Amino acid sequence: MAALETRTARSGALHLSWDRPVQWGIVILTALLVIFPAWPIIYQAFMDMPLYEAAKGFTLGNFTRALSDPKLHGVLGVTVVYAVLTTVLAVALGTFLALLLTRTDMPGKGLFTSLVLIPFFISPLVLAYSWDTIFGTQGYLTIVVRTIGLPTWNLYSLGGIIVVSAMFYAPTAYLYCTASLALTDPQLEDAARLAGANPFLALCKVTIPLLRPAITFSAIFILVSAAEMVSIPLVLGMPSGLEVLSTYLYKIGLVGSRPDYGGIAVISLMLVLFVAGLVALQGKLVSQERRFVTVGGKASHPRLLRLGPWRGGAFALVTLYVVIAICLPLAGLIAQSWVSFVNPFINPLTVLTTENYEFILNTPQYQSSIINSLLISTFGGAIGILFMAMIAVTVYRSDFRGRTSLAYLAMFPRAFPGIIVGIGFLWAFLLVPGLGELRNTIFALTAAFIMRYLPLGFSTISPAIMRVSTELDRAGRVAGASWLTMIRRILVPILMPALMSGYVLLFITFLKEYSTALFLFAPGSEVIGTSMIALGRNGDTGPVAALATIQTIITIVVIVLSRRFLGVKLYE
Amino acid sequence: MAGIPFEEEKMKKFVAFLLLFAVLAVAVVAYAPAATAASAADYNAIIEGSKKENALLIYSIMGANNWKFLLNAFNQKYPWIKVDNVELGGYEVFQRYYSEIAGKAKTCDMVITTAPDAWQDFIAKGELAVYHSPEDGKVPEWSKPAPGVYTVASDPIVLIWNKQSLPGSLKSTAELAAMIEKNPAKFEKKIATVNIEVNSTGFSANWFYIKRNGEAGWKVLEAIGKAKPNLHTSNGTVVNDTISGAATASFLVSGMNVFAKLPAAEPVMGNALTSDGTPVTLRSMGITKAARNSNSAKLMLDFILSPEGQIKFSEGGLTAYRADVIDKAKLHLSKLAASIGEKNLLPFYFDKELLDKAKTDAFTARWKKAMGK
Repeated sequence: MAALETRTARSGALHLSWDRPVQWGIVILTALLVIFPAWPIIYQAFMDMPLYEAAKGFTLGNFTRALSDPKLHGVLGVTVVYAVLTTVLAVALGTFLALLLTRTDMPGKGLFTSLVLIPFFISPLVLAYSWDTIFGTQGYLTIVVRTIGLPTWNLYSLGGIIVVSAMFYAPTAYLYCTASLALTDPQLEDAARLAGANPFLALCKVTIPLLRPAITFSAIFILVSAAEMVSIPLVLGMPSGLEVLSTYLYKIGLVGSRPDYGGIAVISLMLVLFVAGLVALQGKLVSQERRFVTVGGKASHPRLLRLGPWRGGAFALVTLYVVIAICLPLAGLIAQSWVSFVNPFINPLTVLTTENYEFILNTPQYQSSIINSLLISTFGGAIGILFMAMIAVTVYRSDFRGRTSLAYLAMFPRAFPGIIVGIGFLWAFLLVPGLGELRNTIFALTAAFIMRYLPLGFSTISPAIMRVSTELDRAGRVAGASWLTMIRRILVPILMPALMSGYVLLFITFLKEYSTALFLFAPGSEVIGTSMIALGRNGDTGPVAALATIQTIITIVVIVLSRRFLGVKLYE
Repeated sequence: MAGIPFEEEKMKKFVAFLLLFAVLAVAVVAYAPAATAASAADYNAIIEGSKKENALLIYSIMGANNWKFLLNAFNQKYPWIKVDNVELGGYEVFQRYYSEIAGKAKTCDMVITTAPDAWQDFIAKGELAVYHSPEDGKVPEWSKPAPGVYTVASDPIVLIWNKQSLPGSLKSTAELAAMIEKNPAKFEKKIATVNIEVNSTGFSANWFYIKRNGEAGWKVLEAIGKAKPNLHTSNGTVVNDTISGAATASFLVSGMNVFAKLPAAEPVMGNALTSDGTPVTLRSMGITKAARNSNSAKLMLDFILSPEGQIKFSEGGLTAYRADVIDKAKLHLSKLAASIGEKNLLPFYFDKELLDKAKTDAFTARWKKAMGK
């Protein structure tokens, strides 16, 4: 009691606290980080010459020229078809898998639940190259099918890239659905059963409709992601001239003889507005999701649908999916990294070689890209998650007046496709005097990666914070702790598991990242993703496969180790 | 007049000395090594200067595979110079440079690319640092398209095909076109080449091919276009596709990418210099104005031009052209000339027409139409 009085008395006295300055600091830093890449793009959209030319002037010509370009209309059309069909296929696949694996008595569920999530942790770039080795025109499986006389497919078509992208996004839909299914009160299904419905009917009339928010939410998430996807259309679409908006930007911005910077800025703005619209829609739908929450006291176990004679069929179907979508491509990738070149009529065992790995591990450029990626992931991930945690804590656990605006600021980067974040940072570094030298360092890349994934970290930590009761904070404050002390001594220890999960998630995400780095990397600051694209562009498929295998192994090691030693469960 | 003979004697001696001196002077001027290059003392200054510099940064269109033999030899000669090569696209090398100097960021010391159009732009902008190499006198005139710009290698543009799908051999692009015209369906989507819109070597190869063959050349391209060729961003993937069989044949492909895969791919990939005009790239290099390590850059430039440099680069798949290495280099221009005749070689040069954007845009548009795009 006496101690409490002393502390209260002490806090009553006038003393400067660090709380407000820190909170202001966080807001200002976030605002700067988020606006830094945005304004050069808006600026360039209205300039008639590249930003680095002194003689540039204001113009609206970029808009008229870009928007009336028939080539752009074609590309837009393809992008819309690609994004929509990918979403439909991915959601259907993910939902179907979620239902099969959580609500039926299908055999082998334990194994499949782990395998199905693998594409989630692999870079789409790696997945695109892997699929190419198996299903490409000269892929191993394609040759086998062609030799036995069956018709083959064309991977380098719109259909091809849609299927690969859907396979990549299916785990996302799967995760949303399983999370939602886990929260659904099984008594609702029981009620349907009691009313006379057979299990299948109960599934259709009760379970699936309850999944509507998960389905809608994941659909929008996937639509947004597909709209900004670069790697799969780049690797599989460009050889046959198929272009989506992001690869179109890549082509005219990086490899053309006279880049149209104004046009790039206009297209970037269009993409940002489109994605922002979808994200706003997503926000609206979240608020409606409330009425679907059915978590009650979980007294009963969800009743599994008995498949009976269909058990074998379901098992075969899921096995087929896992083998085709995941195991074969990864095996093909690893195989390709061990041969000197790929020709279906030459027995791979006769051209086995370690030269691809030697090449990657002995060339300074590629050594440094692996080291850079590890550095950015390790330290950038740590700095990033701490920063994002401070933002989340300021938004949800302080009485700072601008905290809702801070939340919007933190989610703003969601509207920026990675490739545009890279362009924005590049131009910003060139324009702000004195920062030119920083552009060539991995600090520039780290800042860009953190900005891009601000929403990811923020949305990972926020639910964890919201689950912690505010009584604990208030207890600390009543005992006389400042806001900062309260955070340090109370919230952070409780949030440690969420922080660890967030860190590992950021680590893996930064390791896979390539689109943000495409425009921004400089000699000395290349990362694994950009090296893979450069090697792939040059046709060095062996080294690409070697680099991709190395990246995948690092990811797997990190996931397994963090699960074992940090207790981080990124998946159930 | 008796007092004169002594002066006459002196006079004769003096005139004799003058004559001797004149002869010696002429001999010295005529036979002295080219005084245009730095003298031995000056060259030592360059070597000493390079020791104080940082890593040499080169933007080139060649990959680590092509550089490795040359870099090994260079590092044995100058072990204190660290070389960073960044492999970029043919135009990207310049674009990256321009945006970096605008932001006063660190940029490359040396550029190596084939694009004669972009090189002329670069020189016009005043970004080339003109360096006169001591090897200047030992390389042919055609390899020096502009002061300060020298040639790394003269790689031929070749025709390649997959031996499993196309037994026999091809001798010219026109022959391929005739084969396609007879049976377009058989070759549909099985022909590969680079997209000249995004590949500088490809653009120049087509440009000079058409310059030689005119309308007949367009007819050949249009005939090939009936097979709806796949357009690639880089020569590397064209070669890869031909090796794996995804492409039956590929035309106007950069020899550097082809030779780098031989002899391993010999059983599956055939290649030939075309008798209807083999363009020869001028893989040009120059030191940039914004170079911070210009001494190291000079040493590298001289080394590449030297006999040892030429031999080492040819081991990496590039075609040497210096007369004095014809027997020692793995790939040499003279051997090409011997096989198809000197008049069939079409070396790139700094064509003034390439500066005319209207002409190049029209060329690109017509080419795309010919390719069926």
